[in-house]
Amino acid sequence: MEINLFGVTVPIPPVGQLVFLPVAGLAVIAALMMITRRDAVHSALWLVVTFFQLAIMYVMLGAEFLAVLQVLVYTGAILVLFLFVIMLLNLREGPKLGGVHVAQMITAWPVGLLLAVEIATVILFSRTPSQANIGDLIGNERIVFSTAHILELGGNVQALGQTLYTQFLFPFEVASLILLLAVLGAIVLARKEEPAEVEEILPSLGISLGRRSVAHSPQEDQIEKKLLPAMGVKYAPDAMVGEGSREVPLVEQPSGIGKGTTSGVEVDPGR
Amino acid sequence: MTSAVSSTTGVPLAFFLLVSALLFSIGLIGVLTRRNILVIFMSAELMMNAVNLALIAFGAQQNSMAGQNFVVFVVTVAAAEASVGLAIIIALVRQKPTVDTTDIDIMKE
Repeated sequence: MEINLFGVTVPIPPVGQLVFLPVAGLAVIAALMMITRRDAVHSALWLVVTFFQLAIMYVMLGAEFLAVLQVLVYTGAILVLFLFVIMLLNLREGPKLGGVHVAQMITAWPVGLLLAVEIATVILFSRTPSQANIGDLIGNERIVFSTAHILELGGNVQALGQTLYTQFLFPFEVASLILLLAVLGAIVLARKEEPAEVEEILPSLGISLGRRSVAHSPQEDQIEKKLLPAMGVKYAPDAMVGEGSREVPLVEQPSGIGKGTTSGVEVDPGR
Repeated sequence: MTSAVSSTTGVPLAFFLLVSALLFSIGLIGVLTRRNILVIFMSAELMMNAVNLALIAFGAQQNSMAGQNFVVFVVTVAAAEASVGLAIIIALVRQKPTVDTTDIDIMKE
């Protein structure tokens, strides 16, 4: 395609490239801004910009569902989580850039740029077939998803779903387990440990922290006052939790419950 | 490789891979240079996104859905990693109110 501009013919790049170049440039610039801002909130917001540009590139590559997933999961969930943590814990003012680690800075930049140049060299000078069908290479026609085939299925979401629930069913289930474990791990790690809570757990493990005053229920009071003297056991309110409770086989209430434990496990009788 | 063109937009595949390589390197530089543990985490997320872009680009080149499926799993693991990692950061900040990685030396004492 060409355009005649004041007598000069200027070639017009395809529309895709016109969209791609600003998108890619903004993605890289925003990523550079992200790693050079001191304020963590600014970093997070620049990362949002990069993620949106990546979503646009996913659309250009025909991965519409993943573009939506990118916006929903990354910018909508993960980065909001980051911002929550930064703001809730009041961590905006991070450590100074550089500082004692100037040597680290001057080493890391050349190393990173060298890595970029290396990967770029491999990309530009490698010889792979221009448009290969992975299915042809390994001899399986079922996993070839050309544009026509995807359109026949109904679109990107249908094609993704079809492969995710057949070819990748087992990894899919494992991914659900990973998410479950992450939920549990996050709860366990971020929970604030209350000292009182620990004190409640310890007796059930057979560890005593000395005598605690636990309010007795009316039934227990009755047992202590009437039943035990009738059976010949000496009534002593404070000694109940000790050996006394072990010598009441006729009473239906099992020993231990309500007498100093919360879980039904017997309290260490030796205390 | 240079002649491979994305079927829908006419953008060569190598362009996407180059952007992916650049973003990955920037993420690596971020991990290496920064001392704020939150920004290190964000740089790691950026590296994962760069890999996602490469996976999708290769999948588009080879007419395969495997790349996109992999990206679904990468996003899942990234979400799990972010939640657990941020929980660890919260627990750390409760112990010692800092996000500077050079100050976090509880295990050394």
